[in-house]
Amino acid sequence: MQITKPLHELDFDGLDLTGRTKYGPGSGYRFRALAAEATLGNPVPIERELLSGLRDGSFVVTDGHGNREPGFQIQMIADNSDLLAMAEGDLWPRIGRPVELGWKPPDGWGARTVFEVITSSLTHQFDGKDELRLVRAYQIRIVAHPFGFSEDEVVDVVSEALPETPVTVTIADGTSATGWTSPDGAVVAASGRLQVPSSAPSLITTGGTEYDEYYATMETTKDLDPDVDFTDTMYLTADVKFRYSNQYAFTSIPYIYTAEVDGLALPLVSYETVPATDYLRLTWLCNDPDADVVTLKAQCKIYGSPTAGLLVDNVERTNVPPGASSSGRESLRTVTVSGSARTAASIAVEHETEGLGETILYTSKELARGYHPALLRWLDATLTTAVDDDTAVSGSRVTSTGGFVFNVPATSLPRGTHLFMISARTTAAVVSKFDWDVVMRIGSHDIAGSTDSGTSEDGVTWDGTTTGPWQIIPIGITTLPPTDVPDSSAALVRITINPTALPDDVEIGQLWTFYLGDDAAITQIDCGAGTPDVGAIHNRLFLDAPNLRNEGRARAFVGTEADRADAFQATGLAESLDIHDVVPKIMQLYAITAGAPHPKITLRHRPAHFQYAPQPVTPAT
Amino acid sequence: MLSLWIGGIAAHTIGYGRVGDLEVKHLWSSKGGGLDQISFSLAMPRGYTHPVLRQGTSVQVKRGPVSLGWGVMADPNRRAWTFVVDGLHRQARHFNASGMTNLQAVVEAANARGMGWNGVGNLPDVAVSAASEETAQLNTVADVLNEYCKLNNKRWGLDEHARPYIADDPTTCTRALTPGVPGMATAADDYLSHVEVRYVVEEIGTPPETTQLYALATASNTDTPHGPREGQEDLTSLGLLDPEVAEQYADALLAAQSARPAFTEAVDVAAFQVTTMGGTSPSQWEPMHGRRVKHFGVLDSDGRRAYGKTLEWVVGETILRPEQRSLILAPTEMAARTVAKIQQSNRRRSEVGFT
Repeated sequence: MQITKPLHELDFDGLDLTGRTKYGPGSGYRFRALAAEATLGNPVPIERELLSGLRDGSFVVTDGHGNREPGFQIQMIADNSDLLAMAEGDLWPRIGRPVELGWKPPDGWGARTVFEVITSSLTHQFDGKDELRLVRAYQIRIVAHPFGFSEDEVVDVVSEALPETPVTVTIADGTSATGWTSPDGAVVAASGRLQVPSSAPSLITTGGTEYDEYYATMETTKDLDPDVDFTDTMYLTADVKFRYSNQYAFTSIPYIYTAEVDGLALPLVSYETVPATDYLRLTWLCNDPDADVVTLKAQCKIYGSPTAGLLVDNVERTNVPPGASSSGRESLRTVTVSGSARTAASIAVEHETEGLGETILYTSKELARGYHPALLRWLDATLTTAVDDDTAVSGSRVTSTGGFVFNVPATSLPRGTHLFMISARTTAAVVSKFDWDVVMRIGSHDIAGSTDSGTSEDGVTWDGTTTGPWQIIPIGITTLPPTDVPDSSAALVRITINPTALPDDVEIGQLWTFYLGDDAAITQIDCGAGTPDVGAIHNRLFLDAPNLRNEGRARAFVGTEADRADAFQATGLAESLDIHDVVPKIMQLYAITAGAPHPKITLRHRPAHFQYAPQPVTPAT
Repeated sequence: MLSLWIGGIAAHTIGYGRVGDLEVKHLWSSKGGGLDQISFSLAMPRGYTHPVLRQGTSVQVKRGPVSLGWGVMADPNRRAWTFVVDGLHRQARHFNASGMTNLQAVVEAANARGMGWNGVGNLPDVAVSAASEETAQLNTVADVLNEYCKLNNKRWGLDEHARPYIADDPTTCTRALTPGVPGMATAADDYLSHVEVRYVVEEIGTPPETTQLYALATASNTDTPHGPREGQEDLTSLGLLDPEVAEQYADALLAAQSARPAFTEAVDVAAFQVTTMGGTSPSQWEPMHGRRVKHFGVLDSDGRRAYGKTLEWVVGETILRPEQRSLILAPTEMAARTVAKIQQSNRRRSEVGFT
């Protein structure tokens, strides 16, 4: 197809470069960019070769992208040379400073893409023939931000602040299989879960009785009657486990799980191991206001000559984001980031009526792979007593007479350096530091050389009240898991925390282990808890990533007004101030706001693209 | 990302927000350890400055909320906006011991005068030399700590929270280097198997006309595969010494630097070449100084009596360049091999020592 009437737009700091617009007095002057010489440039990858143990080849990482350099040959066209001089006088002040370059493709469908110009330069080529034709040629060379941006900023929806009343509706609890069907046979409810049969395993590779490799799928569908509106309970969760019955059979990872509503696959937002079981809890996002059927699917490879199947339990829809504490003071949030390239975003954490208290924002690619920093769910319950407590970050507080022991599956921890942090308080006139030690357990044995231990630098203090204030303090760093294990390992990392004061005098609300690898970013700011007070207790935190509009400087503002009228740079209140990478599409963000339950988290940014921006769409909610 | 906090302000919120050419050096040594030096540059608009960018500002290097050490900014280069931060342990060279040799007392007094250390840590409440304790000594805090460590074969430094410590070299390995990290060359310049020290054992006569009686103390390592080689050191400048102290001194001298050939090289390790003993790789920023590492793939033929065992060594110096993802590890007591290092060590020898 050939466009016969091109509708393209090319503008430099508002100046039309397509030759359609006349500027200036009288008959005016026009600017026309010549297609032959035009380029929008390209992002230049910044690659770094790493030292490694490879015998041949080398690891190369892309650290980022360098500026793009668009360039245009411009013709100025006018009826006399005075107007041509005026045209130059119109263009030159726009050169050498930050402006915007816009491009809209000729078919009229695509959106305008904006390139953020950092600087530019101009050269003129004198030509006698041009002078006789009353045309002058100039070359503009532009240095711009590597990525193309959408025209408008968007506010990407982070999973909404929790409603004060969590709603959870059970779709199946495993006691009844009524309404559940499978193309491969009957779905049976037994031992409190649904047993879904598999398709007849198909042989992929022959390897002998025990090593024949099969492929199998499992599928079950429930007709929702009456139809269900997911918009208020947008999270669909299910606990699933792969099952096989053959002494030889074992599975190769990965299994693939999908959920569909009315035949449309849902985005998976989280998976995590269900504490004290070997089930996986999967969470999908769904906005269907009128859902007819829900389908769960799994596929796997198995060895031997097995009978395979899928166990399903606790199929629910809820408005509680995955990993949220019942007190709403810590949660794993999912952000749908528009655009396709890394962008600089402003993240806002806000609560209308409560100071945020000690606030921690944590991002890492590992969060999307099932890692969850909160460890309280792995607490060895035999040694401890837990009590519901809405003031504790996790929603419960735990006391112990013999220290706190956490049995964490080694495979749930990203490999690398971790920081332990604890939320604790003292209930007697003591200051308590914390001793910690770590050991790897496989079966009933501690693994040699896998121990590490230390004592925290800071301690929790007593304020004279019986229910002392909750404090979040770092305990120490260690490399986890202490011994490397394969992804299929059942090994546990046993973490023991002992208050240096009498254990009876110390209560804990949560223990975290923050993975601090290269891609992890952590920001910790004490915003003050209680009723917001201008300049002292802040219920809003704005983290602005470095971009061209803030001179490339990271900012962290705290304040009480949504329009930032009373906000100020919070460096003095910050323990840590990292720059959080915002990468499309699904991004996970872990937030702790010790003072404020269910804060609202929003992400404002200009969607970035490699080259061309698509028309804006309303992001999925 | 590693972040620098200059006078409580995050460096990446100053100027154009770019901390460049960052290099962080840590030491584990008997002459002061912990964070030793940071160098970096900042991108700044022309004519811009910031009140914290001046000599004497306290600087902390952190990874997230984790402290990696404290230092004091040296006078910035205001043209190129490059900065050097000296580790806080170096303050010991700029504070006087004022006639005392009790470790705790010396540090406590210097802290009160603004040395800036976080308390006295685990420093022992003992005098370096009871025999020669007197008020007219002219030592710096560093002289006292160095001398204590020299006599007792210990290490001193500041931990990541700026608390002083006295410690032994670790005896168990907590990190491994994977095969592929090259072994380090050694040199025998300082090697000794037997050392004799001369010291003042008694003073006779009535002051001011006294005569000093000298004695020798010796230390030997007869069970060495490198053959005998003898050396000596004159300790008479230290004044009156107990025989036990002189003996201790000779032992420490032999143990600290001379009982085996010294390493002359450092190793540049890739991100996944350092692991825990269980094979998990820590992040590159996790402190390595003062750790004993097991150097897989390299046999210990350099002085331990058990030939054929895997080499183990203690990390004495680490240089981290996060932008390059480069980490250099050097063993303790590395022999001087560059002109600069040789001059430095000669200068140290010619300095007026502990009085």
